[in-house]
Amino acid sequence: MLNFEKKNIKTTPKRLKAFYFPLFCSMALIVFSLQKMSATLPEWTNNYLNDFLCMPIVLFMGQFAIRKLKGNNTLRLPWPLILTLTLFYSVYFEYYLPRINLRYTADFLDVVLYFSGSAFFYLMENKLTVQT
Amino acid sequence: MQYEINRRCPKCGKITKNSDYCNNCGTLINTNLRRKLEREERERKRQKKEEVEKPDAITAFFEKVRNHSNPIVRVVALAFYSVWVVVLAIGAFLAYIFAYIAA
Repeated sequence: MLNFEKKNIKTTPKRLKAFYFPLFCSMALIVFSLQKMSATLPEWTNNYLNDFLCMPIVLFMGQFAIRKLKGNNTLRLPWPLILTLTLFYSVYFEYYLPRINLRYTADFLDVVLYFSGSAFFYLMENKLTVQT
Repeated sequence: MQYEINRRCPKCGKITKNSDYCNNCGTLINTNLRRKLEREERERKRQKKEEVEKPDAITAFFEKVRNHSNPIVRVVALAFYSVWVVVLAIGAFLAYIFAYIAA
């Protein structure tokens, strides 16, 4: 009985894992389209939602490419690589681009959201998996 | 302390005491053991399938090029086959696309 209950608790993240990538892509596209149509969005959606969604999408695509390249569907990205790519995005979008183009603005909260997105990806891919 | 476990056989309906198998028809009636054996069987099949499966064209190409006689070709192949190089290249490309779209 105990085993059964434990198994049920562990299967939920697996389902979540299966649909977070298409869900995040759809959300990012919807937000981007609404911004292009000059629709009025809540401040957190307009300024911060896509920053959180960015890293899981990029890392998932990188992991997908690596799995295809190596022919191994169990490969996972190492955390130093996740950290490096997140640092690159933080520096590129929040330090480098705001210095060369006025269209971009530096915001520390964006950096926090990049790291939160990466932490979400790492947890989804490394910690919340089901032992079968 | 010894517990007495009664299990009903799903096939013949007979109740068997303290046994994993039915005394009447020999069916495995211990659910935990049955699940464990099923899991092990699945794992065995998966491993067998992986052994039989041939690597896809991309993997086969890189495996071949990595052992090329020319050291320059080997180094280039090794770089493009590296997890870090591929993921950082994809990340940089997407960053460029995002910056281009957002501008």
